[in-house]
Amino acid sequence: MDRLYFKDKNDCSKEITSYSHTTWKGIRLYDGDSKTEYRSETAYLTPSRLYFSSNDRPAMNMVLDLKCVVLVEEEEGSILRSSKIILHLLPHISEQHSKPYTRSSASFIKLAFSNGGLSHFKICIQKSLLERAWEKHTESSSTSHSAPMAFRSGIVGIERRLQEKVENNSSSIQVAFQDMKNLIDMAKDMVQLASVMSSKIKDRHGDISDDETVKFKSYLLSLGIEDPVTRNACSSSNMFCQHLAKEITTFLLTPISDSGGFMSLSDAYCRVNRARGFELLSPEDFFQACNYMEQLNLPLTCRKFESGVLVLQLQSETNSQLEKDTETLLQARRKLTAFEVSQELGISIILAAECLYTMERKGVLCRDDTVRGLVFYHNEFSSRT
Amino acid sequence: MEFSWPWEYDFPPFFTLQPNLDTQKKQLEAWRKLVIDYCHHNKIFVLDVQESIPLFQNKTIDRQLSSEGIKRVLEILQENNQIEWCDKSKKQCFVYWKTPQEWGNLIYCYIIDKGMTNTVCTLYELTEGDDVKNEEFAGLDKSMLLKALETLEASKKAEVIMFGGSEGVKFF
Repeated sequence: MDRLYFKDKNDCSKEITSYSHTTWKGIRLYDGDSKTEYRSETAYLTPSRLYFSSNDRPAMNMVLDLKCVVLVEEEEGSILRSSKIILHLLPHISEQHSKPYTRSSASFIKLAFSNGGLSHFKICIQKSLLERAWEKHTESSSTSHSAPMAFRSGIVGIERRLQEKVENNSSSIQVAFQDMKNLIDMAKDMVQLASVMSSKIKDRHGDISDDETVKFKSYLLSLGIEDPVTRNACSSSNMFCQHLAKEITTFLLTPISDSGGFMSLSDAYCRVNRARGFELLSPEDFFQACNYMEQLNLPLTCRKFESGVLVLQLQSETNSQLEKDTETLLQARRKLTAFEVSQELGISIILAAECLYTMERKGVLCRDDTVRGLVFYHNEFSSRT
Repeated sequence: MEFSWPWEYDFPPFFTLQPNLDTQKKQLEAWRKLVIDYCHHNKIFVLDVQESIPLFQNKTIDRQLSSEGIKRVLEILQENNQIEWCDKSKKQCFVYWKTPQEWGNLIYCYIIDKGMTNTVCTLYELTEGDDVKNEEFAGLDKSMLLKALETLEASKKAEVIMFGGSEGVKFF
């Protein structure tokens, strides 16, 4: 009963009169299951409120906002009891009104219809509840004041929140990619600038000493590959791979020669991409380009070890040099691990291991495999007998 | 006399089964020779695979041959007819550092030498008796002895006879 409040009759007479056809007389109100003093009320149902008026209160009407109503139920009567309508109500919303009850333990009220009309009332109020006219009313009137329901529970609320999240994400992704694009554009400018500068240096030999020119040029070169091959610049993917193969060869020839004639494909991939700086290669493109090297008769080739490890190696160089070095090392030490070989010869551990495996397959080495690790010895089974 | 281990025994890779098949072949051959020599030196007639003997492990360099390795070595020995499994569980095997045939011949030569043909002697005195102390077949395992005598029986040079719960053999 504490959800009902009093309102001046004059304030609501207009609303009531326009809904005079939804009027029921002789209604008794119950707070929960207990009777109240309001035993002969007239109920007026409008789209958003339920009014109770009585001759006992000439100036005041009692009001129940329909937005407080959760559920309408009908309580079957018996011989001694009349049928009643039960209105289950939302928890108390504190508003400054004078009320018939300031506090009530019951979360529902009951209406008894002594003059009949119960089922009609039920139909009408359920219809009003479905239409939710009070929501429309607040929406249209609340265009100016910006406090719509920020939080809504239930499935609709969850869906709404998910939708918001998706929108936020997509907008932030877009922003991120805009940044990337800027970066790429900037890098392009930078490289162009570098190439312009290098050509200028070429022209103006007099101003700077040769030594400085060389130094500056080497700085520029370490910036990366000046004019990287891109997919767009090539007519077919075939052409692209061939050009790429050439570019990779030119770039890696020196580093590979320096590191014993071998470089694992993953190392090579990183180096090339680092040199390109932008217009990065996919591993797939890189691998395909490497496969073209042999066909194009380039000084580098791609080779697969039996374990599946891929390397780029100098065409001129078979494993022999590396193996010779390893053998020299072995003579000094009697036994070798892949780690020692990689340390001494300045190659990666994978490559060192591959070299040792190859030598083992050739019968030059034999292994001592224990929990302490894999150690290779000179194959004395062959040499001693 | 101390057994003189071959150089391989101190070479750590000897105890790792080599993946290179050529190398492995040489390795297994070295193992085969070692097993025979070791058993010969220590007069081992029956080898127990599960028993821990210094043969398959070298404590000085802290290495031992894996069970897979031991299996491969014994397979090679079997291919060379130098071992024979005692039963199907493959836990024990006869080691033929001399074949039963060779044992038979040795014994028979001894008998001829001593002029003991046409006499009956017990199996015990043939291997454990004082007279044979200095012969090579002294201490010969009984099941190995029976195998040796079987080969002599096959060539009609001897006959194993049972009398009163003990076994004897008569040479011709």
